[in-house]
Amino acid sequence: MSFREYGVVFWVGVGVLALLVASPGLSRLLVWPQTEFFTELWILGPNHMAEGYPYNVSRYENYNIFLGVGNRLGHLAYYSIAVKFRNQTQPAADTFNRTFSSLPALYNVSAFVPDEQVLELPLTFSLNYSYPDALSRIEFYSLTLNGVFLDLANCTATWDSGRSEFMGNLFFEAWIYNATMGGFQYHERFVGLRFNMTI
Amino acid sequence: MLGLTEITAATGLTEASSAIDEAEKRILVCYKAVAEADRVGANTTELLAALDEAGNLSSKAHLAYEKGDFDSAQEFARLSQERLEGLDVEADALAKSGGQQRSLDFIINVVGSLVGAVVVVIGGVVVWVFLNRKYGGEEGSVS
Repeated sequence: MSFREYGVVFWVGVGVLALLVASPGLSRLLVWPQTEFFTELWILGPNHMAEGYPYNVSRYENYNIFLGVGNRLGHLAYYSIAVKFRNQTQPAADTFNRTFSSLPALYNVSAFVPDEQVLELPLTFSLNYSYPDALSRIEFYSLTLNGVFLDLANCTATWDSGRSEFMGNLFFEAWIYNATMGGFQYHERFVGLRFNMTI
Repeated sequence: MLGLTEITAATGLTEASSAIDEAEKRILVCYKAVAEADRVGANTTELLAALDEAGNLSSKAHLAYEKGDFDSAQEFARLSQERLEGLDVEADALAKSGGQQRSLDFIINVVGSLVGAVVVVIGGVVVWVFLNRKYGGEEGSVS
C-alpha cells in the first residue's frame, strides 16, 4: 500500500473520529423541524385496552374506562376536557366540520400535560334513569362521574327502532387554553361512548 | 324590598363568583410559571400534580356554583388557591436553575463537542505533517 493510500485511510479515520466527537453538539443543532402539532384523545376499556367498552348499560351500575390525552404540541398544554351527555336528537360534536356540541358541559376536567407526554384518567361512571311504562321512553336523572354528581334532568331517550336501543352518548371534548385570546378554545378533538340504556 | 335570605344569597353568589375568579387567575399565573420551567427542562412533575389538583378543585367550585351551592363553591375555590400557594415562586426558581443547567448543558454538549472535533482535526493535521515528513518523501510503499 502506498503512502498516499495510507493517507486516505488516515483522513477518513480522522473525519469519522471528528464526527463522533461532534455528534452530541450536532444532534442538538441539526434538529429537523417538527411540522405536525396535535393532541391525541382516546378512551380505553376497563382492562386498559381498546375493547370491552360498555354498551348495554344498567342503571346505578358502575363502569370503568380510561380517558387519555397525549400532547404533541411542543409545549406544556392546559386542557379542559368538557364532559357532555346527549340523546339521539341532541347535537353532537362534528368530526368533519370540526365543531363542538352546543350542549353545555356537565363538568370540566382540568389536565396539564407536558409536551410528548400522556395523561390517563381512570373514570368510573354510573347512570341513573327510569323507564315510565306509560311514556315508553327513558328519563335520565343523573350521571355520577368519579363520585361527582351531574344533573341530567330534562334529558330523555326514545326507542330507536332502527338500532334497537335507547341511546345515550357520553362524550368528552378537548378544549385548550389559548394564552393569546386569554381563554379556552375548542381543540377539535372529541371521543365518546354510545350506550343502550337497558330497562 | 329584599328579604334577609335574598340578601344573604346574593352576597354568597358574589363572594363565590369572586373566589372562583381568583382561583382561576391563580391557576393561570401558576400554569405560565410551570410552562416556563418545563420549557427550560426543569422537573415539573410535582408542580403539575398540584396544578391538576387545583384545576379539578376549581371545576368542582364551578359545578357547586351552578347548582347554587355557593358555600361549597367558595370552599372549593379557596382550597384550589391554597393548593397553589407558593407554586409560582417554586416554578420560577426551577425555571431559573433549569435555565442555568441548560446553559451548562449547551456549553458541555454543543461547544465542548464542536471544540473537541476541531481538536481532533488539528491533531490529525499535526500527525499527518509528522508522518509526511517521515515517510512522504520516500514515495514508495510502506510495509
